[in-house]
Amino acid sequence: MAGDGGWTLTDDDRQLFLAEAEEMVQALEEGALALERGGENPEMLQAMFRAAHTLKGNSGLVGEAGIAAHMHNMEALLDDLRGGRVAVTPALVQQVLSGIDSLREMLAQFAQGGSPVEAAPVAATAAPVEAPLAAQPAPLAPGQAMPRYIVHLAIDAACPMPAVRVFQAYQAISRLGPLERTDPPQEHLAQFEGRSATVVLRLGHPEDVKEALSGIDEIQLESVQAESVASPAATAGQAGQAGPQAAEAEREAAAQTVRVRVELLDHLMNLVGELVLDRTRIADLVSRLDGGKDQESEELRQELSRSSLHLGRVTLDLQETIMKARMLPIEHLFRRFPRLVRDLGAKSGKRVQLEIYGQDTELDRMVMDELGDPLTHILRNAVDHGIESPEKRLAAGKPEQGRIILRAATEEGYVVVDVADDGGGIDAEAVKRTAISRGVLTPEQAERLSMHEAQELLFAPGFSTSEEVTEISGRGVGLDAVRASLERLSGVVDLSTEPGQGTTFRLRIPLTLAIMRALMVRTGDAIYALPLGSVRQIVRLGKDNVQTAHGRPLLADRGKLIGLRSLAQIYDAPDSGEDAFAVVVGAGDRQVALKVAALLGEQEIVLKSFGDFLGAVPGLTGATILGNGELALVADVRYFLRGKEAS
Amino acid sequence: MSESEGGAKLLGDDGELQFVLFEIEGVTYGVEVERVLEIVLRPEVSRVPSAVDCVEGVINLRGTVLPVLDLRRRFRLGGDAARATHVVILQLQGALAGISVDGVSQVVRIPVAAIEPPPAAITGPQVRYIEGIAKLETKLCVLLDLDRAFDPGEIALTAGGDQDGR
Repeated sequence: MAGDGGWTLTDDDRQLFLAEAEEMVQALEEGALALERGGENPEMLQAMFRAAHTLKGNSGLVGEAGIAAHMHNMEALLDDLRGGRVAVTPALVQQVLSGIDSLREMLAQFAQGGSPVEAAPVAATAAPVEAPLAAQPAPLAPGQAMPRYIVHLAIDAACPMPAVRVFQAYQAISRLGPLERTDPPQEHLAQFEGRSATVVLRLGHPEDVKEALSGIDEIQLESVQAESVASPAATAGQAGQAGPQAAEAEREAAAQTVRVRVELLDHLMNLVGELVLDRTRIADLVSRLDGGKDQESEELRQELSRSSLHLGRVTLDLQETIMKARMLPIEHLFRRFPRLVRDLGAKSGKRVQLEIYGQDTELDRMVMDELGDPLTHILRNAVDHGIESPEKRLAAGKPEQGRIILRAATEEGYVVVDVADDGGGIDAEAVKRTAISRGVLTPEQAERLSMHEAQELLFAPGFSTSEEVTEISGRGVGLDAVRASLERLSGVVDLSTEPGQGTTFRLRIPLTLAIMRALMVRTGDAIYALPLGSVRQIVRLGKDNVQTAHGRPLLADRGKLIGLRSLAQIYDAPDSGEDAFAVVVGAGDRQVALKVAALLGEQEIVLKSFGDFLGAVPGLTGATILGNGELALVADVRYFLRGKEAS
Repeated sequence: MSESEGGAKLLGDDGELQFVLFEIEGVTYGVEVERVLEIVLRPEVSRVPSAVDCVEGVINLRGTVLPVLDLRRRFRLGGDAARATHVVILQLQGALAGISVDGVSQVVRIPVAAIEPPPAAITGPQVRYIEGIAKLETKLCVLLDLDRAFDPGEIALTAGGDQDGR
């Protein structure tokens, strides 16, 4: 990539840099939020430091001096945190978070223009990170000539007012030079009851410290250490042992990972499909080979047959492995949410705690990308409208801090994501009133509406976008958009709510869009794949179970009547009239029976889109290639459940 | 857009353009060679329901599902797509698609001077999508603007006229 006498940054380089930067930003943010919760631990700080350090290095490599400088400052601050030289305060966490925000802006600039990021605004935003303790006098510019020292002080156990002694000590030491950091911080000295204190400053002559402290009683100079690479680990105690090992493991894991574009995996998948076809052809040829004429040809035939079988197994394995390569832990999606919830809570003056479970649940990369927006939407709703104000919560006898639980789990080929809040729940009556006032329902209709049906109103298109609804029902902003996103993924979203107790949204998404189990059926001259997740039962058609009501055919099954449609007719194909079976498919509380000619069994299919030219075809989610190279159409069951015939 | 840009790009040193020729219902058509990816023996086409009328169905091209378009239906030429022997795979509207053809002749160079605007005598829906008529040694060849012919807006437009005509 280096050109003649110059470094040229290719698009790939930029993408790689940005993708890695995003990971670092996530790691930093997770760490910062953990600090805020008081969950700091040496490994966490170590990880944050490493992220900042790596990003600094990478920025330098792509020639982004601005970002590198910013990261240098953040790295220094994290180093101090790691070394226990700075205390975690809300202000400090905010500084780290703002630092991350400016970093995001710089990265966005880099991603957009590609022009070198201006150094000036970076320096301005970096400043707060540089000076973590606002009360400190004149922070030193980095690169100051004198080395930095850490001064450890011990206060006598019998000392009645340690704060006074430490104050005196700080005063005395500050005569040698400006104190860069102190622990305890000066502004918190009044409450200080500890028995040790630390001061960090640059010194020309470290031996002067002893001299300076000589007039102060009840306080001992424990040590004056030059700040070195080794000291932070030593001060961090346990981290001294755990750190290097963890870092080693991390490096190893990183070395065993490469980035691959999803399109590349798709291409590999197609190639494997080709292999499968060739394998089938070879197997077919082997079976037609007339062995047994003589010993030699029979042996060759058997040898070929064994090779063909082996090839089949390897191909299958290859296919599965590539599918697995498309899967990522859902953590990649979830990790942006703690910050989102925190910021939303801060903005609306609510205290909200987000608990995340099942982060290692794996999901297809493409599906995950599509899931981001709807989940953001639901979380936003939960904070804005679900969780009540602290006053209301206290009045209702709930803890002041609201809880939102984000949980992912795998369930028979599906991933289930729950977003549960312990807020006020949804007032069905308020929803009904709004529906009436908007002319969606008559008061009589509203009267008959079940609780569940009232909730369903929230998902109605257009219903929820109104300001009115937000104010009255306190819910439902853009839930129709959420449902639409989920349907694109062949998923469903449901909600359950308990007034006063909270609301739970449940999202069910197929593990992967690319592969699914399906019931293969034939009708007319075409083969269709019905996603197995929607197949409820299969019934043989006879005189006794087909009825007609109001000119519409119905399937009578165990006392229940289900709308009966011809699959061929749904797809405008000629109906051969040989349909012998009905497949009952359903989603939620709707179902319909589909007439088909033959059942071809259940199989795992790889879903393919119709390509950009055709785009989405109503009623079909795509096609799949069968073992013999023919195509089968994959039915979008949801499409014909919307029809009037469904019951 | 494609006329000017594509034309300029295809212009050879000696003022010639290259076209892939194919036949449908006895008429020779030409498309710019640069948009053609390959020509395959017509595989089995799976009908895709309720798609636009001129879509015959989809085929499996080495693991990729591609739509196959039917010029017969698009231009109301009559005849049966089942007679087609080959599918020309080409770039269309920025995506890949196939066109069923009855036969493929070779790639030819046509001097720009030999291309004329469509004569007024030609009528029918396809006249909007003819870039020109080229006189070859033994026959005439209709040069198509396929991007325009399969523009979704154009399809809607002429499909509407279609129904009126019936």
